[in-house]
Amino acid sequence: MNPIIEALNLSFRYAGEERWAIKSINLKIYPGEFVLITGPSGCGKTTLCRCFNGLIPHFYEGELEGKLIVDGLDTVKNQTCKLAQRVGMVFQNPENQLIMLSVEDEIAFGLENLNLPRNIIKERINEVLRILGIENLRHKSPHELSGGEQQKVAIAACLAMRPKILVLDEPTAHLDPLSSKALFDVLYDIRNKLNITIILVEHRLDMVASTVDKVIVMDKGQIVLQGRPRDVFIDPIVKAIGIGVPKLILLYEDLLLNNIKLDFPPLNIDEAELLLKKLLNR
Amino acid sequence: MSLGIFQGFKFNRNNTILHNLDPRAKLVYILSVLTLSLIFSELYPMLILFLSTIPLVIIARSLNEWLRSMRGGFMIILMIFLLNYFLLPAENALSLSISLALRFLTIFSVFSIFFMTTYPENLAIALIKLKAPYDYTLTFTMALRFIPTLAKEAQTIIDAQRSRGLELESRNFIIRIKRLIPILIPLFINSLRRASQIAEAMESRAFGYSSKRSYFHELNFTLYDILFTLSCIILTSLGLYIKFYLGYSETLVLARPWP
Amino acid sequence: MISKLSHPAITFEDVWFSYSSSEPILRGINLHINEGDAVAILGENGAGKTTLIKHLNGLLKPTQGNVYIYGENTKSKSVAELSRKVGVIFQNPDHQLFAETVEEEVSFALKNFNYPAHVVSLRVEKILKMLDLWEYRKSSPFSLSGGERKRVAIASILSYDPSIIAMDEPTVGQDYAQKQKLSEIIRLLQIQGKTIIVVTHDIEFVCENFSKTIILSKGNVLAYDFTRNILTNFELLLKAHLLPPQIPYLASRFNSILPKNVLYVWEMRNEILRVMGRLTV
Repeated sequence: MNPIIEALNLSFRYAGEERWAIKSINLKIYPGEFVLITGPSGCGKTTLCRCFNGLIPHFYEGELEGKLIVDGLDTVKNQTCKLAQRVGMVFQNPENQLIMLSVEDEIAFGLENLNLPRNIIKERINEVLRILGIENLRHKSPHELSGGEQQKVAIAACLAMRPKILVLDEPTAHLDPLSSKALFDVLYDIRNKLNITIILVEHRLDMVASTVDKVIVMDKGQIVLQGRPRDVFIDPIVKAIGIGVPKLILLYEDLLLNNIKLDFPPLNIDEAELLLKKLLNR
Repeated sequence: MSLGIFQGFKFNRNNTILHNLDPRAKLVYILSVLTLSLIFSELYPMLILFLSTIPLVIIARSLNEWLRSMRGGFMIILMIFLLNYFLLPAENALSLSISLALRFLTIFSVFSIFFMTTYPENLAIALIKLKAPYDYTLTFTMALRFIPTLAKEAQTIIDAQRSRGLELESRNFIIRIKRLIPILIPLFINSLRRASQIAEAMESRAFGYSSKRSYFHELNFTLYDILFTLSCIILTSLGLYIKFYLGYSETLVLARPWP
Repeated sequence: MISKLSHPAITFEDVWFSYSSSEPILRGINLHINEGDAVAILGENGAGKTTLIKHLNGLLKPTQGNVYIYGENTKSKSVAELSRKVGVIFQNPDHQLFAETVEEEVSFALKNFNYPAHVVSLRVEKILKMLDLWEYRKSSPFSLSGGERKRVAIASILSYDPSIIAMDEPTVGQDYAQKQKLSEIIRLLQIQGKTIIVVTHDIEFVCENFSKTIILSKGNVLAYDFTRNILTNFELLLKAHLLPPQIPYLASRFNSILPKNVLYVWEMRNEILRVMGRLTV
């Protein structure tokens, strides 16, 4: 299978800055993957996200080296408005990405930009409202919505354009834990239903550890580790660069130090329960 | 932070005939009333004109907001009345100043009716159909969208700075202005930041993809719109006829007691 | 020292609050927080946490009931007067940064409170050094990174040394290392005997840093107790629309074997070892 996103030695430096925000990024993301990108503040996660839909280099000026191919398109040679049909992007601040006076209009906005006929727009609005379970929000204005609802609307507005890839840059930064969990469940759900590729940048590792397929760890502009969650989280480099490792993984490692080996590092409560049950029944 | 005067200009979601009229028909209405209010300056016509707007307010079920708005504009209306009362020639000072105050009230009233009963998205479409460029109507819609956000942010900034001992009250006007700086600077910078985030979001949803765009909302001129527009035109023509052809002039002249 | 411990610094007496004619946000809050306490206020979005904080320095006054700071009713004091005693640090530093240099920014409050110039420069130097911001003193606050701007906002309040410090959601958008730094600051303030109130929805952060917690839900105080008791009471957390922390949640699945009030990883490990030791011996 061919990767849907491929970065070859991708580097970028913002205009007027000395240091490289991202350096020599090499990665392959395959269709349908749910990828987590994490790392300390300033590691380049947001910069990398901006590359995926062409905001870098078209909206943000600077020096770009290397290559990034997204769904067969070279991001340097294609404008964001063209890439936007294949890559949807949800930003950290729920409010500032909703620009219209009602949820319905917000979802319609992208489709109007694409000059789609009115009946198609109507259909797609109904479709995404249903997929995200927010039909009751159709006529509401953004200030009437909670942060979690606003993010769902942002996702809906992107999905209406039928992208193959959805990128979310710390979408739960301003949300409380319950709304965050609800959002992650929705993401997992739509990945399964629509088979789209999801790239999620997050700090809240304990909530997403068991739902993602691949984890990419960044530090100081470079990828320091990539792989499956179970392999990545127990790697000592993760703690060394100052990432908040999920508590269950810390427990796994602590037990290991005391000569108790669980079968595998647990990524959620259910797995941990299973492993402990097995352990304590011996 | 909602002054009474603005209440009468805020859109409300009632479902009345007036709300469902095409904004263009309502614009014709405004033009008609404006024309009539300018060609007449006599007391009786101005009074009739002003009172004619009230049934519309009632149909729009917006009487409370409209009253609040009138109360808010009271100061300005009083000022207009007083200035004219004292400065006009004595012989018709009273009747003329009342007429002029009524003129202002009437114009105020029809604009209030317009904004209270027009869906912002329909207003945007109406402007587009009247050949306004899309970018401008989008700017207009987005301004409406972000005004409450800005207001909330201003309050947050005021709270934060007051918590650092900033006292906004002061006898001295200059000091009061100076003390606004810690409020205005963060507000301004955050607005720039917000504008950038908005632009990113718009680009990410293919804004600028094509010079041609489709529109989700549609506006159709219905029978009601045609009838309404026709009535406005007929009444305006009637007014013009009465004033200029029949030579209507003041029948009730009230003077100021002193010259 | 003993008399200080029993002296209430903050008292809420049946406080109700609503904006004009809408639904009440605070519904009968009764609270006593003693001097020197470090308390976390946990609650979902909309529970009234920020509204409560705004009552501490008089930004909001109760619609009903009274708030007392060191025995004085907030209704009779101005925000500036109360802010001298209660330093409130809001969530977003970008809602307050305005000065040309970090130095100026941090001295703003001191100047507003009419501290003499030499005291201002001393205090500013002290706090900037304490928060690792001394090298940026001549820089523009807008040129700093997110985490640094947050520290400038904190410095600008700590500079005038208020005895009560309230923080509104200080962990939002912070990564692990930044949260560690925040924990250090809180610990330092505690050593100095300050009364600290932190509003947050970050349960793991509360777990690590506060011995006492208040649960706020829909404008009511559901509980005010030791953190351990609160975070292991799942019914309570559920009622307040909060997710329990991972370790106690896991322990609860073994409620016949493991004790309920396990909070930390090392405690869990010890309990597991204990159970296994007992079984193998």
